[in-house]
Amino acid sequence: MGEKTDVWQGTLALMVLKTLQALGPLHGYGIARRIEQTSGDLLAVNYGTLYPALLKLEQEGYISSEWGMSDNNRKAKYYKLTRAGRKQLEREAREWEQTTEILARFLSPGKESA
Amino acid sequence: MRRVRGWLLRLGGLFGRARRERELAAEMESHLQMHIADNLHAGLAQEEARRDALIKLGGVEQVKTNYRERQGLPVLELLWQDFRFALRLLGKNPGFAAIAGLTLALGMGATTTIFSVVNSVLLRPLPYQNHDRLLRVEETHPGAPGSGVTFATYLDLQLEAKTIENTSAFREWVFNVTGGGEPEQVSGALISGNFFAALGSKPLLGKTVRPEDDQVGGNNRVVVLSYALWQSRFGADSKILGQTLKVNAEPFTVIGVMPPGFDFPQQSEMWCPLVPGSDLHNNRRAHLLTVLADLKRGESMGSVQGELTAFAESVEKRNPGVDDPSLTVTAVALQKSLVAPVRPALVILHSAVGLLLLIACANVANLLLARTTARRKEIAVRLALGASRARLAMLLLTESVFLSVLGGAVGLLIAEAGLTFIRAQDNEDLPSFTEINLDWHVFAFAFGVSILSGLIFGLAPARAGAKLDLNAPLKEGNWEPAGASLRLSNGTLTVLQFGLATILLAGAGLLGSSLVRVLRVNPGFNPEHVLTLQVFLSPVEYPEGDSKGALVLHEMLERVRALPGVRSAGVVNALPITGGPSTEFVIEGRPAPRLGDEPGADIRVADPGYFPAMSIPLIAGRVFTEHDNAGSARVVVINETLARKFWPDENPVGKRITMKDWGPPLTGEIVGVVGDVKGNGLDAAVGPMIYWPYYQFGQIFNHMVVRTDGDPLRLASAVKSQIWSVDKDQPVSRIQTMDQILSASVARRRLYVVLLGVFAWIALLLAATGIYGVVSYSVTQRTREIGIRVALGAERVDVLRLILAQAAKLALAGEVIGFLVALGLTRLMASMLFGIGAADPLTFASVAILLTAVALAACYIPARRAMRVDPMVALRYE
Repeated sequence: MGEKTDVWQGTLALMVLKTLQALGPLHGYGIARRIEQTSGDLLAVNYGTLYPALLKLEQEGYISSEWGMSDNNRKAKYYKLTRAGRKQLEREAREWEQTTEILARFLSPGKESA
Repeated sequence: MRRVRGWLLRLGGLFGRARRERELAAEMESHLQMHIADNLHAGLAQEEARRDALIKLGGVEQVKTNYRERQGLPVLELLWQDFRFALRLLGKNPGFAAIAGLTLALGMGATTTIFSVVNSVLLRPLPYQNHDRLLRVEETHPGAPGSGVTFATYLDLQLEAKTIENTSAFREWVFNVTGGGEPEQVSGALISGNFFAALGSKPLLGKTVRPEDDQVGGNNRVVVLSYALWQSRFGADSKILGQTLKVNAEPFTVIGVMPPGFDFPQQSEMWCPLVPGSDLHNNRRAHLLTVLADLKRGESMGSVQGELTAFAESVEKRNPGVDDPSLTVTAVALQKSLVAPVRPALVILHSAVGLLLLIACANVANLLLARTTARRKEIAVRLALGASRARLAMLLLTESVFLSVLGGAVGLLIAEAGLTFIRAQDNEDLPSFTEINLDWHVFAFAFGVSILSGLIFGLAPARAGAKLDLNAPLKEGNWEPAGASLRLSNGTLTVLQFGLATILLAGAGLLGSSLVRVLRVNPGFNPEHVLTLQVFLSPVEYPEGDSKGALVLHEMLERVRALPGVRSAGVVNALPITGGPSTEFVIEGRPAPRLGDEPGADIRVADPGYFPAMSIPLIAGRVFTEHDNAGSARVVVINETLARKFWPDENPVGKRITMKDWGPPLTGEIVGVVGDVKGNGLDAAVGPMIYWPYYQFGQIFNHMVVRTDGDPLRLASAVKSQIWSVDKDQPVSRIQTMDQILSASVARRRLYVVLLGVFAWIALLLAATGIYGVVSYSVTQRTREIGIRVALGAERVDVLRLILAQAAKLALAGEVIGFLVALGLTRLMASMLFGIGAADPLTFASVAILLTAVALAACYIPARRAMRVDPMVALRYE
C-alpha cells in the first residue's frame, strides 16, 4: 500500500465536516473510510483519534448524532452536520484555502521573482 | 461561545458516565464489525480481517481513554478520582481518619467557640454613639466601698468639667410594678435626663426621657419601657403610650418603648428620671451613681485625668472638714470597665484555645508524616509507573485537605454546641450589651489554618516522594523519607505538644484546686434546706427607716412560720455570699480616727428569726428579740472578726458603736457576737460585720429566708401566697435555695475549670497520640538495629528501656519547656486562684507524673513490638 501520511493536526475536523457535507449523515467508520478514499489512500486516519474528534465537534455543536441502522443492517451511530457546522465548514474551508494559497506562493519562488 | 458550550457540556459529562461508556463501546463494536465485514469482502481470511481492523483502530482501551478525556474535564475528574481514593483509603483506616478528623474538629471547634466569645465581649464596639470616646467616671474613698460617683460630684462635673461632655448619670434600681397581673419586680435604672441623648439611643415608640425631666418640679413621673418588658407584661400593646403604670405605688406615664437589644445598664427593663432630693444626694460619701461622659474631641485621656485629679483636690478645700482629703476621681474607657471583670479569664481561655489549635494541627501533621512513611512503597510504585510528581502531590494534598474539610464540618457542630453551652451559663457574668454569635470570620480563620497546615504537611510527604530514589523502597530496604529533617520535625512536634499539654494541665490543675478549696470553705451558716425570696418593699409606701414596713414584714413572717414544713424563717437586707452594703463605724470612747481612716464594716439588717433560720452560731451575749423595736434602745450584734479585731482581750458586749454614712449616723449597744458569715463570696475574706435589728431600722430591700423540712422549692408557692395574703400587690422575686446561690457564686469559676479542663484533657490526648505515632514509626525504622542488639545479647528489658527512654526524653523535654512557660503564665491568673500559689509544687509535680505516665503508656504498644523483634527475621528483613 506504500507510504501513508498521518492526518495533520487540526485538519481532521475540517475533513470530517466536509465529508458530512458531501455525503450526508454517516457513521464513524464510514467517515474514516471516505477520508482515506478521498485522499486517494494517501492518508491513514488513526481511527482512535477520530472518535474524540467527533465528540469534540458534537460538544461544540457543529455536528449531531443519533443511532440508526447501516446498509447491512448493523446498528451504528450516525453523525450529521448542523447549521452551525455548515457555517463553520465554510469559514474553515476559506481559511484553509487562504493558507494553502499563501504557502503555494512561498513554495514557488521562481514565479514570483520572474 | 462554542468553546464555552463545549466546557459546559464537558462539565455535564462528569455525570452519566456509565451510559456514555456503554454507548462508546457499542460504537466501537459497530465500527469494528463494519471494518471486518469490509475486510472479508476484500478477500481477507476471518482472523486476518479481524486483526487488521483492530490495528487500524489503534487499541480499544486507548481510544476509550482519549474519548473519556475529551468527554469530561480531566482535572476535575482526577480530583474526583483522588477524592474517592482518599475516601477509600480513610475508610480502610478508620482509626487514622477518626483521630485526625476529630483532632482538627476539636481544634477548630474550640477555637471558634472561644474566639467568638472573646470577640463578642472584648472586641466588638459598644452599640452607642461616640462609643470610642465613652468614659466612665469613678470616685473612691479609701475604706468606703464602691467606685460609683456621688450625686454632688456628678453635678459639679456636669457644670465644671472642660475635657468631657455629655456627662450623664444613672443608678441601677428596682421597681415594683403593680396593677394588672401579678405584682412584678422589674430591674432598671434611674437616669439623668440626658442619658438617652448621651448614648445616642432612639426609642422604638414614643420618646425617651428629656433633659428637663430630671429637674425638681419637672415631668418626673414618666417611664420608658424596654422592648422585652413591653412584650412580656404588656403583650406589645400598641396603645401603651400615655398609659399610666403603678411604679412603686405611684402613677407613672409610659412615654416610650426602646428597640429590642437596648438594655443598658445590666439588663434594664425600665428607666425613670433620677430626681435629686434624697439626703444621700448631699453626701459626698454615698457612691451611688454611675457617671458616663464623652471625651471631648481633641482631648486625651491624660488631660481628662489631670482635670479630674485637680477637681478631687479642690473638693476638700471647698468644704474643709466635711469632704474627704483622700478622694480620688478617675476616668476609664467604658468598654474596658464593662469587660474588666471577665477580661483575665477570657484572655487565658483565648491563649488556651490558640495553643489547642496549634497542637491539633501539629498532631495531624505528625500523623500525616508517619503515614507517608507507611505508604512509601505505594508512592514508589506510582512514580515507577510514570505518575508525575505534580500528580502525586495532588493525590496527597487531596487527602489532607479532605481531612481538613471533614474536621471543619464536625468542628462547626462542636462550635455551635460549645456556644450553646456558654450561652446557657449564667449570663450575668458577661456584659449585657453582647450577644454571643458564632463568629464566621473566626471559623474561616481556624478553617484556613487547618487547611493550610493540611497543605503544608500534606506536601511534606509529596516533597519526600519527590526526593525518593525509586529503587530503594521497591527493594524493601530501609528508606529515609526526607532525610533527617523530617524525623527532626517529628520529634520537635512531639516536644512542643508535651510542652503545650503541660501548660494547659498546670493551668487547669491550679484552677481546679482553687475551686475545690473554695467549695470546702465554711460559709458560716448552714445552706441546706433554705429557701430565699426577695421582697422589695415600695419605698413610697414604706419609706426606709419607717416602722410600717417592718410591721408588714413581721406579719408576713408570722404567716410563713405557721406553714407546715417550715421550721423557721427570718428576714435580712442582703443574703450571705452575694454582697451588700457597708459603711465606716466609730467605737464610742476611743479616739476618733482621722477623717478617711475610719474602719469599715458590712452592714446587715436582720430580724430575730434570721440567725436561727440560717443556723448562724451565737458566740457571746444574745441575738435580737421581738422587743428590740422602734420603742426600745438601739442595739447591734457584731461578728466574730469585728469582736476579735477591736476587743481582742475583752468582752465587746455592752460597748457602743456608731455607724456613719449610711443614712443618718446611728449608735447602738452591742448585745451579742455571732459567728463569721461569708458576706461577699466564698472566696472573699470575711471583714467586720454589724447587724442591726430590723424592727428598729426598716429596709426596702429584703430577703426572706425560710428553713424547711424537705425540698425548699416545693414550699415556694405556699410562701408566696402567705405574703400576698398580707399585701396582694407585693412582688416576690428571685426565688432560689441557698444551695443554688452558693452554686451560682462559683459558677464562673466552675465554668473556667470545665473549659480549661476540657482543653487540657484534649491536649493530653493529642500529645499521647502524637508520641505514639513518633515512637511506633521509630520502632519500625530501627527494627534492624534492634535485631542486631538482640543478636549481640541485649535482653528484652534492654530493648524496652531503649524505646521507653526515647519516649521519656521527648516527653521530659516538652515538660521542662512547658513548665518554664507555665510558671510565667500562671502568674497572670493569680487573681483567679484561691488558697494556692501560682507555682504550686504539688500541682506541677502531679502534672509531670501524669504526663510522663501517659507518654510511657502510649509507647507501651510499640515498645512491646520492639521487644518481640526476632533477630533472625530482623536481619533478613533487608
